[in-house]
Amino acid sequence: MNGILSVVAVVMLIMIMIYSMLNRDQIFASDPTFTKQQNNQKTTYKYQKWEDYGYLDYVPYADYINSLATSGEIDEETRAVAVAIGKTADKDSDEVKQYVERFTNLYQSKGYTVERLNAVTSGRKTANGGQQQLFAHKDIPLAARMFKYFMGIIEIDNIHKIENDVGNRGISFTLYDPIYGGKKFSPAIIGNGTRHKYLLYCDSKFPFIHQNILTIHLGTSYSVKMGVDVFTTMTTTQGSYVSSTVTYPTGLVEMSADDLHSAVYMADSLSSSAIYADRYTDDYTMVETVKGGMSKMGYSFLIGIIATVLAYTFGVPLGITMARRKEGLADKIGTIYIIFIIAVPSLAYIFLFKAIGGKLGLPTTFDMDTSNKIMYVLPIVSLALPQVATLMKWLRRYMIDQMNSDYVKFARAGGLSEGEIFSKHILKNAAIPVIHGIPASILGCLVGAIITERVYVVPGAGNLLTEAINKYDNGVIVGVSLFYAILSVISIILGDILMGIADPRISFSSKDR
Amino acid sequence: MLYFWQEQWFSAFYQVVVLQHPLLLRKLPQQKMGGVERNEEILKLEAMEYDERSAYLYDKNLGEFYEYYQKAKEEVDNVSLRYAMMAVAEAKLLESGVQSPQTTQGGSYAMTRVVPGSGTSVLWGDDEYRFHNLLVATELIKKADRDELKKMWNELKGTGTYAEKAKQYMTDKGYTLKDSYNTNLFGEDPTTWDILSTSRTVDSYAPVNTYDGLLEYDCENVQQPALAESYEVSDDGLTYTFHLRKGVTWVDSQGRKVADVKADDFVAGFQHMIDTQSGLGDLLAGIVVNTAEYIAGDVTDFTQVGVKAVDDYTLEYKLVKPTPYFITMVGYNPFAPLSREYYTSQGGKFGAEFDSSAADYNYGKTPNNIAYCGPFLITNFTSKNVIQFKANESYWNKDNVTIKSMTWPYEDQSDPTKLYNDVKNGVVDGTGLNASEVETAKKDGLFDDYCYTSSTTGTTFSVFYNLYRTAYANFNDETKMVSVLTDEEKDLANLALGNANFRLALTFAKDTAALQAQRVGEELKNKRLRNSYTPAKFVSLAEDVTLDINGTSTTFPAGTWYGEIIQAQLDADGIPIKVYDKNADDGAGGGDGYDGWYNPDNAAKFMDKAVEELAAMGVTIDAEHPVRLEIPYSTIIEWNVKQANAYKQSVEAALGGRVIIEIVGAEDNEIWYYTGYYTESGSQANYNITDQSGWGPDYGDPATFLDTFLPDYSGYVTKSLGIY
Repeated sequence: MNGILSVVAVVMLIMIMIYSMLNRDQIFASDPTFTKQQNNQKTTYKYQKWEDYGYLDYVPYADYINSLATSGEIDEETRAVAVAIGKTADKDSDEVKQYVERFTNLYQSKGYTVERLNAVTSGRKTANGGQQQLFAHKDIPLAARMFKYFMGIIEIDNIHKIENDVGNRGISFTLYDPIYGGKKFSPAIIGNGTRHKYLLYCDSKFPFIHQNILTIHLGTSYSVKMGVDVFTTMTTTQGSYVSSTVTYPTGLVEMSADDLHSAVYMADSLSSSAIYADRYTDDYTMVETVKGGMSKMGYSFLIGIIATVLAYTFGVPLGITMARRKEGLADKIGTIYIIFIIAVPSLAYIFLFKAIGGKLGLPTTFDMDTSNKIMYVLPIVSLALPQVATLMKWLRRYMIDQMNSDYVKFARAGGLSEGEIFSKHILKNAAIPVIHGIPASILGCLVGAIITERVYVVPGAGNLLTEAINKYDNGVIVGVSLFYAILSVISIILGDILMGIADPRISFSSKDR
Repeated sequence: MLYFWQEQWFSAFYQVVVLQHPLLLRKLPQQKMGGVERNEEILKLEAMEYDERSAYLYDKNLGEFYEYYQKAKEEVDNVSLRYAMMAVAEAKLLESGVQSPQTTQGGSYAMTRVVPGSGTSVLWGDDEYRFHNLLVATELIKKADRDELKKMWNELKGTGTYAEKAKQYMTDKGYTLKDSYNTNLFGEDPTTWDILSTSRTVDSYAPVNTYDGLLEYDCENVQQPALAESYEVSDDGLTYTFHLRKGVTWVDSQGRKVADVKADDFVAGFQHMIDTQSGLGDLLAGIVVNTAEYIAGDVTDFTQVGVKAVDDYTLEYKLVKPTPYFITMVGYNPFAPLSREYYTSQGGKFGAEFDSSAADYNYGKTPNNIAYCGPFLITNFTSKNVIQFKANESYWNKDNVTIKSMTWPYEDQSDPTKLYNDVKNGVVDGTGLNASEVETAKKDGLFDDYCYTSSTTGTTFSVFYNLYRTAYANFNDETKMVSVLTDEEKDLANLALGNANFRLALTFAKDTAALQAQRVGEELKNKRLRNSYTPAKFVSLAEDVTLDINGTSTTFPAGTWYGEIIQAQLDADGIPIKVYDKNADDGAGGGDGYDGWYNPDNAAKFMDKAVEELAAMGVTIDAEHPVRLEIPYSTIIEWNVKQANAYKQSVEAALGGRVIIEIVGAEDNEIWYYTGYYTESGSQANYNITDQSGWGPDYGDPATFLDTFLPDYSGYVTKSLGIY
């Protein structure tokens, strides 16, 4: 419970910081479309995007008039007249004036600011993007925004998700998934009216049963990957597409990389193109492609986890050896190594490892499409070596601390051999803080390593946060921070549990105390 | 908890809190103007509207060039006379000093596996980035073999047999040719995959391999039919009719057929190109009927524009006036076809309805959102990691393709010796070497056998001076590259750079060779120097031309190079610039390979003149009141840092303390590009001096260069001067 609270607190703090203190114009810094907009169009583009990204509520006058028309209040003819506002307010026709006034009054009474931009002209013509504009906007309060954010993190798909006419809404269950030709046993739940076509399905990839009912939204990206949720960015596979035999809903069988299980509704898409019409029978046409590589998180985790395992396999025994032979040769060499890692900036020693590795003929860039596993060596080594150093450092320090405690002197006086004292007493006590950190270092692998990944061109998740900050991608900053916060809390909890298992003195149930 | 994530967390923390945190970023305090009287000229300029001021500054500084150039452009019957008149106009452009050409590409040490001359070396367009017919060896090619092959190319050029002979030669010498090609062109993520919506060369490297144009230059620089099987020109030279190849298909990124390639797709492409406002349309304004009018919005009905699908396989372009070089342009980006069917299925619309920011507009957003009719399909694009291509099985000419797959690893030059190692290990197939890589190559013993001097290209990189700077931070992000100048210094800089003699003094003070030494090493520092904007040997006269040069009737015999005529005009005007040297290029003559501008004495002389002229306007410039000028550079590219410092040194030394150069470092290339290269108008130009962009020719007429300095938003480079 405390964990959840602290996660929420962290995200709230970050949201307050970036949404109330940062200049909101900066989100456009890396938007190539924005830089091409001119004059009034640029202004309305900004408001449109601010609405898309939850800053405010934006109502263009034309939308208001159109809504009157669809609700039947005015007919098509009136609509066409009313929507055509003049280049400046005093050039409006009387009819337009009346509707503009209604619009203004309505939205001002709701607390909106109504703005009118006069046409920008160059010579006698309207300048590029200089058309007159009228719109209302109102900031969304931060509290409402946060509430909306937390409510939207988990989205549950249902048969009323799609507003358009989709025929019979409902969910059907099949034992023989049509994607495999309808003969192979493979249960699937298929929805109509839902956002995803496949709600539950099986395939040959781990963990074999997949779902699309719950979707996680951490935050929509603006500039890092426009319109895509950052959780999706972290978890979608990368690399070249891989084709296999696919049976489309129309019965067409071909070699394709389309992942039909990922089909999402896209209004009116079926009729828009022959490619869709040949293959699909409904508007569930937006599919992703099956790709050969792993996701950003996948690469980061794979490299990270191997490095961590290596670090523990080498770091722990080395740390113990250093402590046992304190002031000995091994200890001295180890200390030099530790000092080297601490003193030299990580960028420098990673480049050093890279140079040495390159000399030995190891590949220094990451190529997703080769099956050659040697390319993993350098990134893993670069990650593991500093971890070994830190592990050695702390384990050695803890053990030396323990060596001077009274119970060690007592054991020694009791006649136990040095070996027994070390393995049965000192190590057990010294290992507790190390064990507490294991879950953190495992989960931490999901986050990725910024410098290592950049140097070896690994397509990992490491630089997401820094890139988002550089490009003022606030949605991503919030999303990634939330993700990091959750990971930290989970790893601390797991660490506590692990510590409880390792150390019989620690217990979590109150009655044992 | 300390021993985990050390690297990750610390760096993240450092980036967030120390480097980036907005609350920690402070603008430098601006000095108040209190009491100081501002110069009248500045007040006058400041009072003007932007367009008015642009026009005023353009007339003042480039008016003469404009006059001469318009006259030259009107000459369409006698091509030689046209070239000569253009050369005179260019002399006026150079004399104005608004820019100074300094380098071209290439001319550095390089190593490669690519057979020389197996791709086109024509100086314009971007056919040089079409790689489907390259010959690439599995091993680095020895310098001796390269020289031999180049000799062969010169002999066989125009016979259509070079490719076969070169293949034979390679096999005889024991090389094995491969069918894959890995290049180092991927230095930054493309902003779009829609070739029709961008004029940035870096955006077109990859997409240009995914489609075919009407005609294409082959490795012997002869135009070959691509999507057009044949064409004819009407007698009046105003109508070009192309007969398209039948049976060519559009496919999606997975190679599935989308539609047939029809004449209408070229019409759709033309309209889309103008809709996207990418600047490509300007190239054809005044050439294709009603293009300029459609861009300006005077014509809104696209059927009025001079491009028409007569039937499915006949395409017709109507020109405003006979344009001798029109045919050399048709392989270039603005003539790219666009599958109308695919485009609309990706949410694309035309004309007034075009809106690339609409939620359902997906065209060109990723390589999966474009249609292909060229030799390659893009199978993988991973941001800042790799772009991969495979052969398009439906390509009409697939049997004559030598390259079947390409891998372009991400190379951002942040590691100064990475490219060298990558070439050595076969990660990429070729690269130019920077100074430190040359050292490494020498140590490795590869230098003598494999390193050659790469040939120079048509692209000219210039230094541009901002005639009236109004942006003092990056236009896309006001916290980046914030100026350190005080308000008084800003005024002074604008006044000084508004003076032609001051700009020329700055240019004469710049030791370009010393700057280049920082990049390519001392031995090659002169190789890539360029002295004119249009390369001196871009075109030559086909017949004798007699021209009036400052009152003297001068005859230039047939065969005279373009650069020689510029030189004649410069000499007549008494401006000490050498753009053509008879002794250059080992006696062959030319405008590259030496510095015809740098001269500290002339710099001082012109500076004195400028100081005098400015004094008459009430502006004082001396060692106590130096002009402070800012030039941005990228801190992550090692040679760029060195160059910026070398520039500062050479200019300050030559001008005796009357000018101070402030070099402003950008923390990455993107931020650097946003000071100048990425700007959309002159008002966004965040520098006094910049050297980050250049211009590569699009077709074979000097107009391809000179057009870029036209006023009223129709010259693509004019914005680099801080106007339009």
